[in-house]
Amino acid sequence: MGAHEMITIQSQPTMRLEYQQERKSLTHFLGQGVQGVQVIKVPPEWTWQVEPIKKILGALLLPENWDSYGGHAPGIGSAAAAIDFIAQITHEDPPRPRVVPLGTGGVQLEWRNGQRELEVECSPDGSIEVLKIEGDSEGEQCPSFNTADITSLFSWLLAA
Amino acid sequence: MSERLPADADDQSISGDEILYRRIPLNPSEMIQETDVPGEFRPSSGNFRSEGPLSVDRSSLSSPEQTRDRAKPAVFHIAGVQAKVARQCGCRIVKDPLPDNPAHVLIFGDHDSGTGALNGKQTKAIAKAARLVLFSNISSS
Repeated sequence: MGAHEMITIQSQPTMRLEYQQERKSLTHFLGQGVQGVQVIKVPPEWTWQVEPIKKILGALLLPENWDSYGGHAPGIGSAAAAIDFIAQITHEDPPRPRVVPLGTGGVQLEWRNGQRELEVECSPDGSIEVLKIEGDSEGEQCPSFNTADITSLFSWLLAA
Repeated sequence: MSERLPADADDQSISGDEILYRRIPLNPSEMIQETDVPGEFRPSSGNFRSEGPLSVDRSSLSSPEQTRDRAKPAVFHIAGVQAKVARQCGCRIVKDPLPDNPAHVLIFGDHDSGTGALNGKQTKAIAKAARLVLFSNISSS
């Protein structure tokens, strides 16, 4: 895909994914364009990241009560946290994440590699919780993060 | 869910073997995933995240089709899980019949949350044990 190729999700409000030559801060990833158009700019070197980001943006289009239990649609805060998490993954070719909207208005990213799984819950307030699961164990909750933690998490996942 | 929540003491009159049903959205498709058994699907744990206790229906009082059709005209898959699975991970199951749904019960999760919502370990344990018992497509009626 060319560095300037545009991807448009055919939904309303229209969202456009475009490449940018230079990586900037998270606040630049998600921006409000004109007439309700959401624009997200990602670095040109990103490859596997594009599909999950499109799914995250797609989740923003869910209606209220989308789950029939009064669930909230994911909002910008949870989407930005999820995209920021993806942005901090330094492994070149990790397993592809599943993107699951939550009735809380959050977004969950899920990775699996053999018997090891990571579930990353991104909340509307931007907070992140990670659950590490191996096989049939109940899992280990990891409450806080920085880039080093994410590198460590993916080293663990990929060592399965 | 009722506006006033019932007390969250576990109701032992609900058998551990009873199946509890939950509607699962068709979209996005990643709300479900195939298990190691080809053709068998389970819900993602994200289906069990909520702001409060989790709404489900008792199989002794509702069929999977009835649970699905309570959300008409929207169409949903139905997942089922035994009540004892929820109890084994520390949840309490409480009857909460509604005027239009006598089968309605609530699963209360993490005591520490103060909301009754399930925590990540609880939703994961339930999701891993749950199976789709009614697979729908967009043309299902």
